[in-house]
Amino acid sequence: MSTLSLITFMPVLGALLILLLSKEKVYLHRFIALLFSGISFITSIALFCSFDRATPGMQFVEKISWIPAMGVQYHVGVDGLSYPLVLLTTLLSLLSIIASFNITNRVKEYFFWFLLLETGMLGVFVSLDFFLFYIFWEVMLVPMYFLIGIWGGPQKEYAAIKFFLYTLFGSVFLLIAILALYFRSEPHTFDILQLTAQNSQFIGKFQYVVFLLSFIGFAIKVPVFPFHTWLPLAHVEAPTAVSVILAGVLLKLGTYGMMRISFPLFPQAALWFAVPLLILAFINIIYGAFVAMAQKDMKKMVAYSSINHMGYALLGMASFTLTGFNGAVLQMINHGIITGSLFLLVGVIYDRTHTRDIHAFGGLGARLPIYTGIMTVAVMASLGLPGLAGFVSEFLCFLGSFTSASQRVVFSSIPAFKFFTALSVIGILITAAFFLRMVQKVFLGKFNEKWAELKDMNFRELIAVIPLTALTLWIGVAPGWLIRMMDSTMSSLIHLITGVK
Amino acid sequence: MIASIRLILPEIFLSGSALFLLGWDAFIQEHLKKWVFWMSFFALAITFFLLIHPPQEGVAFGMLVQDPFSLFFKVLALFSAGFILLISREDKALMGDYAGTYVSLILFSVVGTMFLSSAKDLLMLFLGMELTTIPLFILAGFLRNDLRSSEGAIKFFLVGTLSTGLMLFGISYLYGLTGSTQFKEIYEWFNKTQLGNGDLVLFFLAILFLLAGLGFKLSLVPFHQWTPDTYEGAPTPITAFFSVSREAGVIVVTVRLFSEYLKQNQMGMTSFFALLSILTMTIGNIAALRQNNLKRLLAYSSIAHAGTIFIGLVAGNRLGREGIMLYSLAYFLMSLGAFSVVIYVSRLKNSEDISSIQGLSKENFPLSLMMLFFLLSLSGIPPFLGFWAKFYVFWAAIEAKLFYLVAIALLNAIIAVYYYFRIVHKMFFQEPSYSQPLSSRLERHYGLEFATLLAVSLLLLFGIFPQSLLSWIKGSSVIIP
Repeated sequence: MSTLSLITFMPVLGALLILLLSKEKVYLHRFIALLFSGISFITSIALFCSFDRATPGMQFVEKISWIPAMGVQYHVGVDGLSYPLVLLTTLLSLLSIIASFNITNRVKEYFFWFLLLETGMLGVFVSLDFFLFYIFWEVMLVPMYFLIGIWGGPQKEYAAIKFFLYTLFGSVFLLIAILALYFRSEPHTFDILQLTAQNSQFIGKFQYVVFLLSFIGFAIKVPVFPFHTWLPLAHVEAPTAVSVILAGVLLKLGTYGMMRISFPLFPQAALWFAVPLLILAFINIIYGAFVAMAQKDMKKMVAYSSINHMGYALLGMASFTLTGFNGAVLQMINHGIITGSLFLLVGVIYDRTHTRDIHAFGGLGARLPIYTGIMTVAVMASLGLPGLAGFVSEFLCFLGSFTSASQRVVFSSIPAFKFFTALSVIGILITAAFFLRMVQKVFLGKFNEKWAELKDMNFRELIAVIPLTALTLWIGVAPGWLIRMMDSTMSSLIHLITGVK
Repeated sequence: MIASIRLILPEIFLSGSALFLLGWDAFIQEHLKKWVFWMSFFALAITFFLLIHPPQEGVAFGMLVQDPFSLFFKVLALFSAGFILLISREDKALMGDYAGTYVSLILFSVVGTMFLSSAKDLLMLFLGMELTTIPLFILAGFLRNDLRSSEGAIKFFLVGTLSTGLMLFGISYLYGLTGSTQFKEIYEWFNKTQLGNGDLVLFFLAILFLLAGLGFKLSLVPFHQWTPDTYEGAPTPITAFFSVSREAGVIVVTVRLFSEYLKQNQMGMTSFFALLSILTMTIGNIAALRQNNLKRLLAYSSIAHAGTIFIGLVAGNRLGREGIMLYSLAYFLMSLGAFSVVIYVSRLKNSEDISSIQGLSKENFPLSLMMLFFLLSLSGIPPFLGFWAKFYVFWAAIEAKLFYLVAIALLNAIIAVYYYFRIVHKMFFQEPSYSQPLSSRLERHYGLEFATLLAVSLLLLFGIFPQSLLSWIKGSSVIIP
């Protein structure tokens, strides 16, 4: 088996192994989950050495005929867009598995679904056949339904079915788009690379309609306003580790899908949609930030801040500049790392106190120095403090959007992109406001004696969070290695889109 | 003559076996009764062998055509009968004193389905239809002491005879107009007749009557009212048989008539057929949302599936026909599988209410996992065979540029997920309710367990590697005129 298949299918192998073992062997289940997602992670890291950063195209390609009767292939590969996301997925999955060692209820099923979920997510990122992509896309939903519905919070069952139906609704549009593309392409194919190569065939009304279909399918996942209503419920009700995966990886599937499929297949429609996308990004940023400010529940606050942060990525994408695209992909990675650690940290305090209300605490800083330190780094990164990861990508997104070549204007003379970018910067301010307020209420001020017994983070929790904190600092100081990884792919993508004008 | 007899030898043999088994009930010795199961299996196996070795092609008596297309559905009917025998093996009420009667009725119904798959003549269509349904009238009421069973049987009987009457009425008009009962000659008459000819009005009226008759049997909306009651009342293995064998037999003759001869798109009836399909899907799904009896829920979902299968006919192309074949096969496996689990649970808890499946994952995890797989397949989520079936039908419809139909069908698929996941929700998210007596817990149900396992493994195997299945179907979609 070749490397990418190994990375993708290792977790599902572990899941099958878990299924065969008896329910009582809790430690064995944990160990197997750790082992198989660990193999996946190490293999994806090992790929780093042989990954050629100068090549814009696909690497480590595997192409096997799967269902010749329908022209479906097992075709996988990674490029500068998908490889960083694969790394992010394997890393976050491994850390989430460590973080969920405290789960004691139905452990066997938990890790079974978790490993299945990991395979689904990795499969989406590596698929180069639109049909294969769709299958992984759907396969992912079922484990997520169970993970939210069984191990979640008070409203878990409603959250689970809402998430399931909402995202299934999105895939309906995707499926129609896939079928329409198949019959329009000549020769008929599901292969994403071939479809991209013959994108000049998709002209006229067809490309606008199919672009919008695929866009809606992906927008629900991101989520782009007004398709965001599933997100707060699912994020808040899910168990900690699953929230990490939801925010860290699942949301990126939407933006990834746009950059892999919607944009390169329908460049003209994408450029036509730039300003609407810009406005949607602006709404995401401002709306997400304002709603987050209104929250008392820390987890809800982080969940809404995800809407705001995905808005920055959308802003970078809407610009159709190299800087913007690099910023968008970097923002996807950073958001995964930062929000992942925020969810983990909120989970740590919730496990101890069973509350997430920011008013319930106070002065924790003196009692929990390690926790406070790590949390502060994550919060500062999330609000975009220079020197930490969040700042780099947000800055690139703004820069890209500000320098967009678009000639569109609003209010008769103001360039649209400059106008909305300037307004979006307010988002940073609001983010800073609500995160700092949270830090103030929870860690500073008078100590709430109710929590006198509270213990600082234990070893397992530290193992799960420290790598993310380290990455936050590293990318914040030296983002070059990550950007170089995606740069050549992004510039060829930009060339592909803007070259068709 | 001899050649014709050779062509229908499998049907002749199976009818003979059914008659023989009917006589077997004369023996009252317990140990002889046990033989019924194995003998019927043997009969099915021989019939299968006669069918495929070597595969025959040709026309028997000018009325029955043997082609790859009919062979596919005959094999399907034989397998579904074998499956039903397996799942009813341990059922004392069915395979007890009247085992011979029970089995022979099933075999007769299968013979009817086989005739239907080959029919190229309206008379044969009528005969096959009757032979399929009359044994089912009796089977639906097989539990004589159960009022609900009798109620379902009576409803089915009344509706069944009414629909037969309607169909015969339509056939008589067609005969009067065209002077023939052969599909081909009716088609030629239609081709020759000029537009504006007054006879065409009568012709379409006759087609409508014929469609109404077929619609009753296919449980298309608005002819579906009998389905839930009959499904609920009938013994569960028979309910499973209903949802598969009858459906397959009627759909194949409908396809033969309306996609090969009287092409519905040529008659300008595409929108009408699409409307039937949309109504059937939507009403079936919406009604299923509120059901609390598992059998009723599956009954309404079978109506919805009938609507989805019908899309293949609306598309009217070769892909559509293949989609119908694939869908029938997939539906056979997943519906029988789901019903097997319901039987298993109802044997343990003596209840078919949705609450009986509550907390199943804690009581019997493998069983709940299998049920989950059947439900996922029914909802059309990859990588199960149900997904490919749905996809194939939609594929055909998109090729025929029926975008709106696919969009509506996909929205329907989401509604369906909601009620299928109500069952999942009960199984996995809730605690088991121990109010029901856990009777016969230690008894093993080998036949049932084997059948369920077989269905789930085939669904998964063909779901992940559909290529061989698809190429078989592509080869079998040939219709001999």
